[in-house]
Amino acid sequence: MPEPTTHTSAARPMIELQQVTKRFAGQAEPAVKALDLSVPEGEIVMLIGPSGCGKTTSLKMMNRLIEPSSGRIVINGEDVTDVDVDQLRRTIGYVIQQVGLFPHWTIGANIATVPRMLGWDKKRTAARVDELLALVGLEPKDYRDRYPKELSGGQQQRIGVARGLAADPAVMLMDEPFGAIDPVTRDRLQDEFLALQEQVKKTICFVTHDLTEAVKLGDRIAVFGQGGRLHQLDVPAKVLSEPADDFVAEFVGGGAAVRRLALVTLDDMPLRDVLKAGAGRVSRGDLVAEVDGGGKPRRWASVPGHEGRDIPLIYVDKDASLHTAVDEMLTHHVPVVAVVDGARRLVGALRWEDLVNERDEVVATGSVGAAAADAAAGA
Amino acid sequence: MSLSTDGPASSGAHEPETAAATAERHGVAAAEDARAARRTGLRSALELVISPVVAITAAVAAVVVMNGDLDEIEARALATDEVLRRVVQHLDMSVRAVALIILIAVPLGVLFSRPAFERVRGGLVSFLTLAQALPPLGVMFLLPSFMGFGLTTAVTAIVIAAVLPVLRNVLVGLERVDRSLIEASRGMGMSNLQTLLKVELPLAVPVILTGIRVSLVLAVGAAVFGAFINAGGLGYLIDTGQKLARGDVTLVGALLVASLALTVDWLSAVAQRLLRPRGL
Repeated sequence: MPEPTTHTSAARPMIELQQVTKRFAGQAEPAVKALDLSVPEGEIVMLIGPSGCGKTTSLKMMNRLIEPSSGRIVINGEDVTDVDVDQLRRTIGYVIQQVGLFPHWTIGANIATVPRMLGWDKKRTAARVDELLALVGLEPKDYRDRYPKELSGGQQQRIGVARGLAADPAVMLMDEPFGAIDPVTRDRLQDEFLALQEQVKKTICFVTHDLTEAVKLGDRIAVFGQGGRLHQLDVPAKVLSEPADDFVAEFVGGGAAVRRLALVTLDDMPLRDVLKAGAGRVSRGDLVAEVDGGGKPRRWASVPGHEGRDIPLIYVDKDASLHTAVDEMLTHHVPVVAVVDGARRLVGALRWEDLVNERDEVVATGSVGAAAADAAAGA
Repeated sequence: MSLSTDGPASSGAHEPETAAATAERHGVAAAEDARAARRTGLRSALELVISPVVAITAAVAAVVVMNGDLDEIEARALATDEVLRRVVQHLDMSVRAVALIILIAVPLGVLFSRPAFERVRGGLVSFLTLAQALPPLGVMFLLPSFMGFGLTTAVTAIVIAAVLPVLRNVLVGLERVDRSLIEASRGMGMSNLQTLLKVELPLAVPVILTGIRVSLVLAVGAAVFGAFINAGGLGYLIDTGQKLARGDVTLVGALLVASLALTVDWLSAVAQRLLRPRGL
């Protein structure tokens, strides 16, 4: 999960589109109109919007697969509007939805495409291929000599990403890379992708039509509307909680509040104190749990408001998201979950009522929650 | 997510795809692949066996006739070295023509496959498909009137008769290359020429080879025409046999043309298997 960053980033822009417009022949309206877009170094910016909003066109103008009609494109401080396109593209990683692995080349040869064009020697190229295969979690000796058709869709896209990274480009452009992959594998590829980005710290432009993916992967989200207009460019939490206009509000839709749950970890929440059964005086409104010698919760002794009902004790790690906690509550039909630390020791509890009644206040006062959790852990 | 009430809730971690599920998915795909491979395998195995069997049968039949009870005229026309000379002439014409066809049709096909010709391409493919069905004999008989007689005219005539399958298959083969491969290639910085030479043409090779194979067979058939314009070949036997009312001579010529066509077909089927890019 990317940390919610501040509104403006100190990092210098790696990709900058300045007043970029694209008109296609025979179309009255421009596909992209006077677009200003800046991608800070080392960040993932997700381009999202309805179909025909110009997000893919914008992406393809960055490596000039589509030539802009007017405007300037600056990558890594250099105006690339007039440089040799082939040279330019060899310095930019490119990953597409259909993967596009060359079926008549081995996996190794596919990954080596750009290094070979750049004239790397055989030894360096071979070492890089093995390094990248390991990086995307495929055993080099098992995979480098296979052909693409022998791999599953998920494995193929891992190779697609490895191929994009091959010549260690500073900038990666990704056009719905996980769009054609089954949901389970997609989820895993997204997790792997984030872990990979932790290591490689590329500047990435990523086109998606899936808001969940945008929220999960993006350091920032750029919401596009019809005519290639950029409506909002901000961190995911802001896009969800403070849509810039009606279009964005409608686009993020009624699910925004639920999606936002995924961006908050339980650590950020003010948790209820939980008293340990038999460890002191208990008054009527107190939440009480039986805890074993190691501080691990065993069962609820008393849940105020639910007396006489046997509520199973469900626990959730404090690093989990609020979304996970709510999911557990709904799954197990419980009004409360225990929150535990890495060693499964009880640090507090989260109640359904708190979410429904005081959510805004709760999110705003995260530090109080941490204090409460510490108090509970120390008790 | 844990399902038991006392289990730890997973901290948003994904469920690893179970090995069984992966194996199952791969298993299903593998089984389908295997079935498809068996089917095409069986077909091409038959293809590889039937052609040579028929070719050898035809050749043996020709040899039997040649060694049969022949009168003086027949014996002269069917003398072994005379027949061999005709076979060599026949092959010579056919191979020259197909070499020329490849030299003409591949570049032309590549040219027409470029985006500049996108608009006319569909019509062109339809025309070529239709034209292929028309016997080009008319054109062949017109040629000598302005090219004279001899090998050059014969080869030109064969080129006209057999060029279309290669041209059409170059176009179709290039057109069938997955657009996303070209996008990936261009997007990674391969030039247009590199994309053509390293991606498009290699992937079109199986289709182009099929075209060349059809052309070769057509060329061997069309080379019969060489005899009528003084270029020799097995057509000479057929023609002589008819003129002199010696059916045996015509039969030997026809049998050898058939045998040659099938042999050429078989050789190109073998070549097609060997030249197909791996991984396809």
